[in-house]
Amino acid sequence: MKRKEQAFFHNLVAITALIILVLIVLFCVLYPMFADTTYWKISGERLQRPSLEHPLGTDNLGRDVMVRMACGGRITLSVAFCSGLVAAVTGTVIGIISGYAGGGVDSVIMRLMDAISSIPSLLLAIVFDYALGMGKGYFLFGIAIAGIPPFVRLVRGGVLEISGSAYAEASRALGARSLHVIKEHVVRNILPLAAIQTTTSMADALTICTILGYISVGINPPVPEWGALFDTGKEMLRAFPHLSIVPAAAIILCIICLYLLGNGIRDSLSIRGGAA
Amino acid sequence: MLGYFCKRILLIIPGVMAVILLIFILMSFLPGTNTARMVRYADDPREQAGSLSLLQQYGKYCYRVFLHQDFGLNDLSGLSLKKDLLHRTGITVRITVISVCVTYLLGVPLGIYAACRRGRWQDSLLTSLTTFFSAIPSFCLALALVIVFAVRLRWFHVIPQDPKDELIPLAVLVVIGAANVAKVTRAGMAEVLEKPFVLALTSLGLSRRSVILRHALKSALVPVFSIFNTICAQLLCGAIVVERFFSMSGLGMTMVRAVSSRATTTLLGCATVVALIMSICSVITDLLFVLVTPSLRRTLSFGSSMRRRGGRGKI
Repeated sequence: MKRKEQAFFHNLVAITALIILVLIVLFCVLYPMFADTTYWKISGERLQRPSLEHPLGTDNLGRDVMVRMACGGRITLSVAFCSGLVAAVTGTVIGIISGYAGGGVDSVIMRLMDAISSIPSLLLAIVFDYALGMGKGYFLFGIAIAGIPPFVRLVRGGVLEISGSAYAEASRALGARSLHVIKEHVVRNILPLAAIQTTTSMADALTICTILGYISVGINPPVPEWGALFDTGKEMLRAFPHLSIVPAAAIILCIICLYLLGNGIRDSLSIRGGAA
Repeated sequence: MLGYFCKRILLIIPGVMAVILLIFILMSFLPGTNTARMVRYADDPREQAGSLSLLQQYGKYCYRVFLHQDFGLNDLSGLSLKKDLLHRTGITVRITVISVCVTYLLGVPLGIYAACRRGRWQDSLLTSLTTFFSAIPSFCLALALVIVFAVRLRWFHVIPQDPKDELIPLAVLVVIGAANVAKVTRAGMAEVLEKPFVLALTSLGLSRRSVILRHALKSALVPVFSIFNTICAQLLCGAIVVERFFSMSGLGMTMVRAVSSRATTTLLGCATVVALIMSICSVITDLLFVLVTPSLRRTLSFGSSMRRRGGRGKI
């Protein structure tokens, strides 16, 4: 375990990605606290160029873009991280149940997962938002549910492989209960794989969230979101390109960082195996 | 094997019915939905409208959809939804099918090339490009392509008018899809090239080209084909965005408009069609999977767990 962590911290790219992500999150959380305006407040002349007072200028209604970026980041990133985590935890638990129970329970769960993964996640998010009340953030559950099937497949496969292995067999022969085997052997072996998958599904959730913002579903106008900010910036692209470039760059940067983080974890794992 | 696929195709119907049920249930939670009359039909007698329970309506909807292809009335126009859906589905399906095909034709060779040049500059270039393009949201890429090719170079119209203009929306989808396919192909190929049988074949004197294309490719394609489903779903989502961006009146645009105007029948119809398309994609995924894994053809009688076994290859 120690070795893996060391390998991860020696991976310069992954560490840089992690640091950038942390910095972006800190910026989104802290900046609005210290700024003297909020995302809905009109704080000056409309469409100002970037200045000291408004680091990214103001938008078509005269609202400070920097604050809107930070508040939008709070929403986009929290949707991405929350739905990724919800999917990871739920998927892991369901996967362990499915792998351990086997038989009828297993096949019902796997059928259900096949059904869920045959619905595009964007559609699921749109339907959840529509059905459970628009603009209240319920689309998060749609994104999370769409992220569950890969976790269930991954974890179920891992459970089947590990519970069939010699050391799980030995542990059981020594009188360990199945809960102990799950805790000590299965979860420990699966956690790194699940961590990689978590970064991927967070990146996917981020994409879906920005798409929702872009097609203006789920998030209502005064509330900023990176995709929605890009959409409004697009209208003034000729004269004020920064209004759409900044949100786009933020989205791409976050997704790339998540990917690199996942790659970093994977690389630090394969050192143990000696391959690659 | 034929029997298995017949069964698989028949299983599409309960799958789609499950999706419809899910949407029915979700919609009934919504305060303000007329649960007594979720779907509008042309031959609805006025006085009977409130007499069906939710389950009965669900049964009626499924019955009409599967036996009469009757999706009800478009809430916005009051005309038959079926004609509308056919037209719009045509647009979306055309974009998606073309882009999925081109995605694979482009992504697989690129992935193989990167895997063969592993560790050299070509590989690092391709890997960073694929990471970048799979991270870029489709609407950003669409905007960038429009600025370069339609506004600066004036090769295309900004809003598609001729068939030629559809190249930009297609390119957006292809670039994003191909990046993902190339990534998976590279990983699969790199893994296979380290297997002992590749070394054995090489030491037998086979040329590198024949080892890669004849022998290694077949195993390397397993993860690539097992993500066919995911790629289709991704490009379908992409198509929704691209339609909105280029103001094409496809399925995705209809769906988004149905959500914003609370048109239940239209949304239900669109969701049914999307679920149908995705079920067909998942049958194709299984078919492709069988094509590249000979051992599966023998064990198909236990076939229900086949895709899961391969799905783990992705990690």
